[in-house]
Amino acid sequence: MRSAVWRRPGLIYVPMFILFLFVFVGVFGPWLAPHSTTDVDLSSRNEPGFWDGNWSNPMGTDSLGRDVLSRVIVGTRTTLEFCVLAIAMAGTVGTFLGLVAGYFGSWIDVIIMRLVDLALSVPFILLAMVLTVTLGAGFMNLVIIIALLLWAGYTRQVRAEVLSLKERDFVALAKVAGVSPQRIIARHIFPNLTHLIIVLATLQVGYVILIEAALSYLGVGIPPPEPVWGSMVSDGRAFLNTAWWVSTFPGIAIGLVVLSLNLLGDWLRDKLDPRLRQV
Amino acid sequence: MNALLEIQNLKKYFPVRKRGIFSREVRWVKAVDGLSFHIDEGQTFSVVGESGCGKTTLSKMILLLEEPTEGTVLFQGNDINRMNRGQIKKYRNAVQTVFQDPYGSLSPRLRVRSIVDEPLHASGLYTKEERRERIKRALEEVNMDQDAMNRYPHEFSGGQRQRVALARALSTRPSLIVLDEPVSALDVSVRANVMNLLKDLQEGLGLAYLLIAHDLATVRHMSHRIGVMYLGRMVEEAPSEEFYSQPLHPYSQALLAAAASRGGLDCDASLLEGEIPSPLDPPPGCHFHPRCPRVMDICRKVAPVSKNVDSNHMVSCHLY
Repeated sequence: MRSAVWRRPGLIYVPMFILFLFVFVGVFGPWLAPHSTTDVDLSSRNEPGFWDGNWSNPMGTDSLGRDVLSRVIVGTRTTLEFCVLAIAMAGTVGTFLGLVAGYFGSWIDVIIMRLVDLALSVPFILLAMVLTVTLGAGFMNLVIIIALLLWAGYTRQVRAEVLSLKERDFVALAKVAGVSPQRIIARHIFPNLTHLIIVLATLQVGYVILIEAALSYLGVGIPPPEPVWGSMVSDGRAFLNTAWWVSTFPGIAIGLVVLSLNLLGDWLRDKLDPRLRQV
Repeated sequence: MNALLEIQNLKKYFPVRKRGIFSREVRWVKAVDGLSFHIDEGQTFSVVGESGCGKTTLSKMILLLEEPTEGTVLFQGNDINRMNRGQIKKYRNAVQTVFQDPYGSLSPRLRVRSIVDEPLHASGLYTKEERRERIKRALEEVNMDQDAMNRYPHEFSGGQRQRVALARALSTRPSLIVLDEPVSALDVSVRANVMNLLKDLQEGLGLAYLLIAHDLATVRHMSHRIGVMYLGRMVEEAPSEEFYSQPLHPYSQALLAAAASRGGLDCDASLLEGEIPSPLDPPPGCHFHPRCPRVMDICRKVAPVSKNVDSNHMVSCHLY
């Protein structure tokens, strides 16, 4: 069903637009937010939003009187920064290791792949919690922890692609021409990996957001008072019956962005792959 | 006079381990099993044989992609496996190649300009201007427009891509080009064009070719000498016209009969029965004996020795 929906021409613009909005708000967030995200106003706790006539706080307020809309908006930036950093780190390290393992093979390959197996078999949430407790929670710490989760996925897929690229005629011809291994990797192997990396990165952003949300929900995510969607959902847990908006709006934000990213990632994968297969 | 390229008793054996973690037993795939021949300057030597006879392994050894298990490859008298780095650079300039598959030979992310430039750049022997000149000249020589330089491979047809590959090979002004089935993957209508181009270039530039093919018809008007390979061994070698008019080895005769019976069109099937045996377990004695229409008792037990029937005509068969 999913493929039928987005294969209709033009429909991909919906998720694209949502994501564009996401990035836009992420960049300009703090200037767009109507209220402060941190000022505590205990006199207006858990107030409903626009459906109750409250246009000053269209999405209502949370248990500390903070405007939910503003927090969702500023939270966009936090989420965006977080994702970009974690994926950049994981992608760089993961791709490099995958390249080395795939191209040079032998013992380097063996070592790297055993590390990959290790990374992929670790119970992640547990590890994240342990690391957070020992190293302290904090934005950068959490970025590193999540990068540690993600790198192995890149390495494995990049290595597989490199193994197949290595056998292509144009690589053999480059060797015959006397091109150095570094240059072969840079000119022949790596440029043919970019489509894979883009698709992986796109699909992983959604994953990162969800993981961060889960960790925040469990209390080991980015610490307050930073507005973070995952923590916001968690904070509103106790009031789901009464002040449902505290959890719901950040939840909707998470859902929309992750869904859009997944659709975009699938679309990109189809768009970029067949063209190259034809070669 | 020194031959340009001389192959002496060349062998390449690939080890195959028997299945099982603890097994030490190793068997060998004898891809190339004692090949000797030479190519003179400006001449075309065609190596013909079915798939699996070792032709590609031979070309890989000449191109320094594989090391021989035994034997030597001499280029202008020098052993290519004992060259220092400077000599290797010169060798790579002097010996170029064109592969069979036009769709896999050109890197999809590079422009034609960069593709043709690659061997020039890698040799480090030319300035930027010199390289640019050579690329222009190479494209002219293969009858391609200069504006092809800025385009990508996927914008070209198979025949055009092979010409790009050829331009790349020509850019360093080699003395020898190894052509590994250069037209097998092309439309029949395009093949003649490319083969004619190759012939013109040979005459104009004095190039030598090692032409590897499985089809005797295509190579006829280009070859000066023909060598027939079977399971890693050369079973017959002769000047081209002599070979076509009087093939001696039964295998050569079958190949020729098949090519002729189809009116000179591409044809893989031979009038022989059976298929080429596995190189892992070749038949004892003469490898060809199970399929030979003139097999004798001795063929099953003793491997034939190469004999020179004429000064120029070698055959490896108990009939002679």
